[in-house]
Amino acid sequence: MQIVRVVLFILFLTIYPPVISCAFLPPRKNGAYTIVLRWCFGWCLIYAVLYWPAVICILTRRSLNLLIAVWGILLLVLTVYALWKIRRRGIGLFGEMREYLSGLTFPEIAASAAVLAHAAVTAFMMHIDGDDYTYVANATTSLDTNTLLRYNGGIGKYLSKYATEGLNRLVAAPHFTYYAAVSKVFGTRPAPLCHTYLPPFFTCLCFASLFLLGYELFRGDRRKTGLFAVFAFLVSIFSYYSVYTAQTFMLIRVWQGKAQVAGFVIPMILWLFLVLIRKGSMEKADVLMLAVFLEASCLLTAMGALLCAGEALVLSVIAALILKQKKLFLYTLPALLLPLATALIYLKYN
Amino acid sequence: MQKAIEIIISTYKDVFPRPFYLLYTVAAIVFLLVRRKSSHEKLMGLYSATILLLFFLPPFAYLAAPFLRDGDVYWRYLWVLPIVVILPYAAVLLISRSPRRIINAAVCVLLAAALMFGGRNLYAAGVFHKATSREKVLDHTLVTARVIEENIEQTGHRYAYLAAPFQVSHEIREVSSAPRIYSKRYFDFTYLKENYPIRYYNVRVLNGLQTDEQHKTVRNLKKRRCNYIYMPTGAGCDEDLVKYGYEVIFDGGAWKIWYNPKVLGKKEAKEKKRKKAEQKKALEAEQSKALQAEKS
Repeated sequence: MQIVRVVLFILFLTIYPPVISCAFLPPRKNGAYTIVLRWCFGWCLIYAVLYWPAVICILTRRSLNLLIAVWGILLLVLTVYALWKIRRRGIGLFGEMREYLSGLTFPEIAASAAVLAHAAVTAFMMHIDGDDYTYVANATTSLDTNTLLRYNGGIGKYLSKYATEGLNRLVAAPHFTYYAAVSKVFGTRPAPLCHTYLPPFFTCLCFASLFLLGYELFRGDRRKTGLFAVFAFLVSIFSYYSVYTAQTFMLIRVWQGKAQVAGFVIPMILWLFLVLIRKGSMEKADVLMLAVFLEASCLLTAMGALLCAGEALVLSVIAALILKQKKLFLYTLPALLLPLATALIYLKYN
Repeated sequence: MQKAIEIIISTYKDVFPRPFYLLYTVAAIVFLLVRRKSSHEKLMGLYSATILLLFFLPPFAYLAAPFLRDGDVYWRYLWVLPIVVILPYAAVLLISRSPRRIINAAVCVLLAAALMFGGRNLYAAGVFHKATSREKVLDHTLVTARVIEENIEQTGHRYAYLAAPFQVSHEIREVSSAPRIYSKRYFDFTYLKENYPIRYYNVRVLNGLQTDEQHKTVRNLKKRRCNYIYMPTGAGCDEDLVKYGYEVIFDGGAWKIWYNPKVLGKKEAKEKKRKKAEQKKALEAEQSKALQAEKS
């Protein structure tokens, strides 16, 4: 049984995000890097689907089991829809994978090897951080008590209201629910899940977004993309000149929501606007993609959601000015409604 | 506005203690804005320049501060400055300028050296340590959690209120949600000293700091209904712990876990009181019945 769970867990982290992304991403959306985009977008989609059920369940004081059931049903619906689309359009995920792997250049291989080495470091080495109780302790408490934010995870005190004592931001950004739900489904504890099992995947995810950016910036030149990724890795590793840099967060405590926003969601939003400026227009599918990225950031951290919304706003204004298209800016606004709602929850309870 | 300027300066000092990466970023922005060969270069250059200018603009800092914990975490704003994108982007553009490969290779090496010189290597800084468990918490935290869980199982006494030093109390609930934590939220020592002198005193002692009034610590912890105490051996509280009914359930050498089965939680104490009162009532009723029977 344990082996089955391990296999399912690995499939959930590797194969499932590309599959679920088929619900929205057309085939060969991003050339040879389509499979990388599918992986990144799929992760964001999984986060985005969890967000509102988690917030509603916390505010209405529902149980973790109910949240898992709702999340599972939503994911199931999306999966069925995605599989139906794959069948209809005949997309070969393995074909996209083969296309990506067959065209690998030496710099790409070097950068990938460096990323994998760091991923191994995050799995086998440790870094203790003071912020962990926000994520891990609350997930452990939720898992053990089958509740959502009824106890202060850090000290175990029962909360008479749904949110008090500095935990209000967790209502706006309930990332711990993801860890609690995954722990419950795959039969593990949140501490090893957050500190050992997930960091290698998250590390790869963060660098995958940088690979995507390189591929877009150099318009499909894979040699330059690889070189870009090598330099990006170098910059990341040498960004420890301060503990406050985004790369430091991304490299040493990637399981925390803010680190994922800094290392993954913010670059993905930048990537989206680079694509838009190349295409010269913004379609409904792009608005949806932006909304998914922003909603994922809402789950991860409330403050990060504000940052992402700000980033999207500035990028849309600049892109609209460069392309001389008001539409691009106007289309961005609906996607900003979600982080604004999060910001309101965050500000209200703080 | 004065506060906004202070926020900017302190954040700048925190994020760029060595200014090299900021200088590199400015150079990359200028390079991209001068070059402007593609829309991507324009977007990257303009976006990065806007973010950087806004960061140094006091009115913006003034407006943004309330959203960033009154400016305490203004440094997070700099996360949207894509240093990790713009530097490699400019570097690769520079490298691929010349048709001669040897020149490109030389530029590549120079740029890499500049990046390495300007930054600080994460691995060399000793950030990571070898993991001793999958949970990746301190070993004694893990042991404490297991000892408490086992003790709860053995005694059937579910109430667990632990007083422990900062690190252990901070980590233990990541591993086990069984114990409630006493000193967890009192780690702001200055605030604590001013507002809760006794708690400050307790926390200080529990952190292994020496004091000459240990008895107060244990007495107060018992008063606060802590039935588990993680005590460093050097704190010198062992005699008092024994005096107040605590017994060692685990000896870790430099520290011990003490347990007092008689210390009950508020609910448990109430329940016990209620049961006692009921027993007393029942006894009185029996006695009165017996008395009546005797009379009759």
